[in-house]
Amino acid sequence: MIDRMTSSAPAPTFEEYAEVGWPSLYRYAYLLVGNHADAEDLAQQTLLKAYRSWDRIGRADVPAAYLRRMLTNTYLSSRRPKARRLELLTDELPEPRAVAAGGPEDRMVLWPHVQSLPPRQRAVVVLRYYEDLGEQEIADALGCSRGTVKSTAHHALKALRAAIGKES
Amino acid sequence: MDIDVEETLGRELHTIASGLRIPALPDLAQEPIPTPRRWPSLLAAAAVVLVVILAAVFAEAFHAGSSPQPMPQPVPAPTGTLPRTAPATPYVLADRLYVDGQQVPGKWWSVDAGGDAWLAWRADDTWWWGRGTEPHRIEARLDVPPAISPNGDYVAMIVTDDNGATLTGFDTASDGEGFGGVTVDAGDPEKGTTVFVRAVTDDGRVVAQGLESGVLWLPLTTGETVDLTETAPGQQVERATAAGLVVGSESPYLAQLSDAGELTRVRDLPVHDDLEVSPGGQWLVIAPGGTLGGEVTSIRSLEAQTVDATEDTTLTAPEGWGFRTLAWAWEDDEHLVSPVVTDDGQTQRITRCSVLLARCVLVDAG
Repeated sequence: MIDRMTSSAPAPTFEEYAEVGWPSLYRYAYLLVGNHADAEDLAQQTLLKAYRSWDRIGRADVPAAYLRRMLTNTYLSSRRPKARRLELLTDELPEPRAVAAGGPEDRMVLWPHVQSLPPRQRAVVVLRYYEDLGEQEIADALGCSRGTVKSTAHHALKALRAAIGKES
Repeated sequence: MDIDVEETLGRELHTIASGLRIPALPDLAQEPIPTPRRWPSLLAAAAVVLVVILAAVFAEAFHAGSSPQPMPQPVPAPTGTLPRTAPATPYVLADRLYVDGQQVPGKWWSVDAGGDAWLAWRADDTWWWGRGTEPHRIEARLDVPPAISPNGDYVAMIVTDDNGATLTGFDTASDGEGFGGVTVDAGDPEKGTTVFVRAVTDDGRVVAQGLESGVLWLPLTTGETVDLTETAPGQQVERATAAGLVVGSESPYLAQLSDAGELTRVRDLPVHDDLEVSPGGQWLVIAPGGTLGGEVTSIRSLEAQTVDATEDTTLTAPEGWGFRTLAWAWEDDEHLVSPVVTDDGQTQRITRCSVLLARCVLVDAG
């Protein structure tokens, strides 16, 4: 995502920002939801929210961080099947979801299991290992404490290790 | 499979992201683009004027006193009138649960709220929670009541099954995502040592205690438990509040709890049968010790005081009514709302009390 280079630079217009920021917003959304339809919907919802509040967001020091947080919250607060509620962090994953055959995703070792992580764990994994954010930045994006980030990451990695351990 | 999980994660996520075909930027031009503020300097000037006025008001207040005092905590100014609108906080009236002014289907015994979230006990002995009017059932066997944090972010509970008891919980902000579980000793009801969830704090720390055992669980940080019988022997945590943990019964006090399980006394509290702290941690209301025992179903008055004990007042239910036992709740840092019943117990209404006005009125609710 693009960031404002300096705090004294003029605020970008929404169109300027969206043109450059859309691809990275979409990629982040895809890694969270794992399919194109939901990713486009999630990224578009986020962009629409930003569009309505651009007067405020455009003047933020780092608009990209603002949008990342908006997208993450939209993702985490979106309605999920009841079966996903009250899930316990058992460090054991359900069976990985089937992925479309033929693409590079077929050759991935961890990606199928990332998609089976609980949403908050998946968000932490993507923010840490794709967006390369530190604990505090992830905490800011998720609206939680650094301790929560650390704990969530721990559970996610433990679950992933357990999942690939079962396959070997 | 012997791989570096973190390295592999980074590589796979970047590979997937870089290989995506990015759809066209959506057209959002149907809506008018928000226009830039044309009067920032006017706003800035207004802010400066406001700051000057506030400074002058405070300066006048300080000069009026005999000596400079520390800046007081912001306490809402009394409006002089008490709103008669339905409570903003969830409430149960005549077995009906109301959230945001709307009735939630079902017959309900009680509700506890924190922030935007609520936790309610339905008459079929099931527990439900929500943010807004849609209830979510806690799909687990609960032999003791769950607890909600003062800010409503977390619910903690002891789940019982054939294998024993598990202390667990979930995050209400992320739609019920769980935060794992640890096995606990549930105690023995016949010996009076049942373990209850006493508190879940705003940062997600959980205290489960009985008369002979107790643990502090840190599900969101280390995931470890601490034996409270060793770190805080003889201390019984009653509940979590916005001002800290309420501890003890004969000489109760407000305390801070460290991750090592040590309780630090912050200030003494009055002896009480029930104590509720306002959401901002400014006021507390108590039913004094000995007032709720036996068959008491309502009480004529409650005692309120600031948490720092510098102000106090008595809240008396409207004439002919009594506060229904243990059903009162803070609506904000000034107002307490409660179901009230007539002396014959046949009619119920809701009352709103102001601690600043020391007055209660019946409101239009239910």
